Amino acid sequence: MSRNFRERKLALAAAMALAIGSGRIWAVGPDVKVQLQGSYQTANQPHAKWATLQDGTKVAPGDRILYSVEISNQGDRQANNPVAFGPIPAGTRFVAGTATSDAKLKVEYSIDGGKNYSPSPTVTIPGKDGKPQTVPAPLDRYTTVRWMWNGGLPPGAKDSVSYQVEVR
Amino acid sequence: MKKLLVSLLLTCALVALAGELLAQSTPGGTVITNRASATYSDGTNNFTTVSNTVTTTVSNVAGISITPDAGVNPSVVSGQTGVLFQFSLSNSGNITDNFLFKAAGASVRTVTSGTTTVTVTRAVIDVDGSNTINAGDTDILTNGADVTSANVAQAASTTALVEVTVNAGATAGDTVQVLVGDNASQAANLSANEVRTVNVTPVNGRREDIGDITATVQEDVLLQLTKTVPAGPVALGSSLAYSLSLANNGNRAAAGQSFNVDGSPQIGLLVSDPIPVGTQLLGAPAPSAPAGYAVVYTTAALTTTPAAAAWTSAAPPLATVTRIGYFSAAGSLAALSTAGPFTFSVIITTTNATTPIGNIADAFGKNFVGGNITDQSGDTVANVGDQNANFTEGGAPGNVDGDGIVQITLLIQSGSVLLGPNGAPAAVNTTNNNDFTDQSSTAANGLAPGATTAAADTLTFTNSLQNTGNANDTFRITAPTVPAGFTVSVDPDGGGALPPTVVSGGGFVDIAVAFGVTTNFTTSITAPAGTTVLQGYTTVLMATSANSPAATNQTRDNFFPGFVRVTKTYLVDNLTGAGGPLDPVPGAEIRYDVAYQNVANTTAGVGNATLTAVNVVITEDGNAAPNNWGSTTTHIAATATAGTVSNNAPLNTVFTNNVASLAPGASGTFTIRRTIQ
Repeated sequence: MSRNFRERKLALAAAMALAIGSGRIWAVGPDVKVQLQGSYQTANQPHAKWATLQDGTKVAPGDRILYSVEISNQGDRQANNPVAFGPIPAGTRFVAGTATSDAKLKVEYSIDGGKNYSPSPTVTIPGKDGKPQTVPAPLDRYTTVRWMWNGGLPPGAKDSVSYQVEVR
Repeated sequence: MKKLLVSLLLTCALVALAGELLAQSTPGGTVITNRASATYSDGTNNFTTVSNTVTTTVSNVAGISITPDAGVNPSVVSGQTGVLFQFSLSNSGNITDNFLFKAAGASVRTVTSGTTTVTVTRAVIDVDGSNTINAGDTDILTNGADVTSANVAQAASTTALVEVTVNAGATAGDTVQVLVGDNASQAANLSANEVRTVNVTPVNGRREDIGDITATVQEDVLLQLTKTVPAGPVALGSSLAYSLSLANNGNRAAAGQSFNVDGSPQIGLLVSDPIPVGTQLLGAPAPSAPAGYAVVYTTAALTTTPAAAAWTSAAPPLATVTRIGYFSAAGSLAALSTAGPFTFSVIITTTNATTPIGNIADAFGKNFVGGNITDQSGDTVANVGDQNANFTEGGAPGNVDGDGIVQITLLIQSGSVLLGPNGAPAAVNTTNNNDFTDQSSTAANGLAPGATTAAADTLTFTNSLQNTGNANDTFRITAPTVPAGFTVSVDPDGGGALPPTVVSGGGFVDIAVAFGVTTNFTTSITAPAGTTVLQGYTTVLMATSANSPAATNQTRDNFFPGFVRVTKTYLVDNLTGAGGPLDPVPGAEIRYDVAYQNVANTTAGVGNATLTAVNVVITEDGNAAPNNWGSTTTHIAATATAGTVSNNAPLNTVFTNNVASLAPGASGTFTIRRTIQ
């Protein structure tokens, strides 16, 4: 069990105790919820409207899936340093340039399952001259997208980001 | 700029990976699960939260990729067999599938261009993956029904092999294309020549694809033998140096044929050059060959082909060598390469310069498809020759009879001629330009010296013409000197089919005479009426060589209208005392002198045709009018300076002087002495 998970459990327990004490269920402090929604676009109809992924929906290699990640602060205090993580599921490949990006966000990518992040992940490969050469990592290697908000997320506020993957 | 570069590199990476996308397709049925998460802080503690889980399932997708597309095979040559065209059929779907080939080889097709035709000999699914056609492979050429491959797993592939024979008659530059399938990647439309997937469950149904490979037809071995020959003209007895080179202008290496060398069959390339007629191989300078080739010899007659001749690397006596060869044991001649120079020298032994020295040589090898090929020198056409250069191949430029061309070295032709009396062209008088033929007519019969003929008179002379030059020649016969009023004509064949031609007055006759041959022609000389008898009339004939116009010779045909001149004189010797000493008084002596002379020409040399009078009979008849001395005189004596006198008796009045032979210039006197009654 990680340290972060232990701390989170303690914070939740404290919030629940406060809610029970007041006779209402109310989060004390920030309480960020994450909602993931998937929609897809078939490979042979790249300009069609995105269709929502539902149970039983099937996709084919080459189809694109648009994942929308919505974070909302349902607590009563601002959530500081909110960071959202969008995994690139096995069997898919990140689609370059599709991660939401704007001024209040910093987007980074991991190619090692979330251990390290970089705006432009690189790998080192043997060059033509035999010497190691650092090049942009292939999209196949991307494992996670993360968004870091510049400011906090006030209570009741929400924001969403999205990214696309392609079914391999 | 940096962003752009990153973007470009990402794009490149995507493109580079695009070819792998299908091969790495997510298997059908795979559940794609995703769950987002977030972290945040309340200022003191950090929190992590996760989202709901979104799942979807990957559909079954069919796919087939036949490669190569527009592939290129190594080039082929006409007649080549067993040419393999290899196709890879990949399962680009995301499930295990099978591939279907149409019945009766319909999924395999060929397209050729130009004159090229091919025959598909075998086509299979390479079951054992050996890239060769084996017994266990699945026939897709003569299959009676559609054939389905074994299971091909996702991203796996199988191989189809198509074996082709390029039929004879293919032309370089033509193409041979082999196609497997009939439509580029698309949903299978069940067309006649397709190759498709079998599984009907994928969301994209059944798929088909096409692959094609093209091979270009190239030239097989193209042997071209070139011989460098002195053009000449050269003098008889000269040495001639030859050089040959053997080029392979084709796109395949030439291999060797089997020849009998040093007593055993050996495989190799051979350049064979017959020693030219009229020459003999020289030992020095020694024949030479480039590296990899050995000089060989044969003494076999040219009626024996080089392929059947026995060759030796040791030189036989040079006078017996009929061909020189250059043999590359176990050698080959690479495509687009040349071997050489092959050199040797000969000395000209013929004495007849009429026929130039002919040169032609053979080269022997095998082509890529194992066929024997040969080429003869002298032309620029490769792979043509009759496999036995023996100088019968013809010398015409542009010869297209399938053989080479006999190249020639011209010999210096030096004309020389002798013209003389019949059978004696080399006759000499004081020189060999004034030898002569004397001949007489009977026109002077009964005519006194100084008289003239009453009618034209013709004599026919036979002259001999000898070609003493070093080649066949043609001699022009002219008559630079003709007696005034005479007509001279020459008949080249002495009354044969050729007509006589008048040569007096500037005419001429050309007579062809082969090397070393003497021929006769006749010359008719006509003397006009009024010709003074008993003297010679000279016609000078001259022969001029066409080969060497400065080479001439003359002879003289002398026309004699009679050639024995008889002159009679008398003398009176009066010793009676009556009258003067020369008075013909009774008792005085009267003497008749009959002088006779052969007026024809004497010879200072040999071979001239002279006129000798034979059986000359001088008759003195005292009673034959106008003579009357038989009855008016009495006999004293009858004498002669030549021959014999008959009837030399006192009472005779008829006396004869018999001269058996009166040579040219010879003379005599027949004297009758009488006493006047």
